[in-house]
Amino acid sequence: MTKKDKSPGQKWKLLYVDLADPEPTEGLNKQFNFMINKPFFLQSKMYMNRVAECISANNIRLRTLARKNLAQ
Amino acid sequence: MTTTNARWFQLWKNEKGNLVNEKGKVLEIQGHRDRENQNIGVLEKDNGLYQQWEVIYVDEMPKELKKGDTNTMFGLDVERPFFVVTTLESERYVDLIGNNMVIKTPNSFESQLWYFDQKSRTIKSMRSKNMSWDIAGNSKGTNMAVAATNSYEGQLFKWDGESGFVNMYDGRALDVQGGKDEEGNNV
Repeated sequence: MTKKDKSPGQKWKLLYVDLADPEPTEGLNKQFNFMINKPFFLQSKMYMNRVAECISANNIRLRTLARKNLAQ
Repeated sequence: MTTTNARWFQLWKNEKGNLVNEKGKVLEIQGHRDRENQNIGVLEKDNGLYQQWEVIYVDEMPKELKKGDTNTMFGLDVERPFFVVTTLESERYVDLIGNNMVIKTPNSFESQLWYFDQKSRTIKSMRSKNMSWDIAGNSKGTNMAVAATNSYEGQLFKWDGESGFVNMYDGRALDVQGGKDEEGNNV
């Protein structure tokens, strides 16, 4: 809080929950350019066409596509 | 990967083939090597192929090419045997002496027969199907041989339809050494 000066940081919009647009659950998110809640492979454009795979808890590596592998 | 928190380092945009975070850094194959189990990290954008990705939704993923299909990236039909014939006067075929690639008069041996293998993206010998064209000297040399298939940089070649076979990475072409049209000359 600070003294009122009408700076951009002090301007707000009041949005009532019942008037807010629902969070989208499908379709294209234009900001991130991804389809919402739609599973995808992340395929490298290098020549072997490998994909990103989650290895162990927190690592991502390049692996050959295995369509039924949920880690991909 | 870590627990979802939607902080800036978890927010990625798909921008024309790059996966970009708020700091402008992009997802990249570390070491720039297209190899199994290669780590993926985050670095400054330089538009290398190792930073280019395609988001393919699971229900839109194309089927793997099968025998007889054409791999357009490599310009070759899958598992369709072929000869490689020099356009020098003799029209000799690429052949093997040991594991070394040379030109020889057609002789109907399998050592003169080759095919494109979709799984490894390499050109394999019908004589030894676990071996592929390979630039000797860890892909840096000038001699061509066959070696155990590994799909490393020195084993990926495409048929460009005009001037012949070229390596996908350095663009060098398959060449009869010195242009000498002699039996057993090196390739």
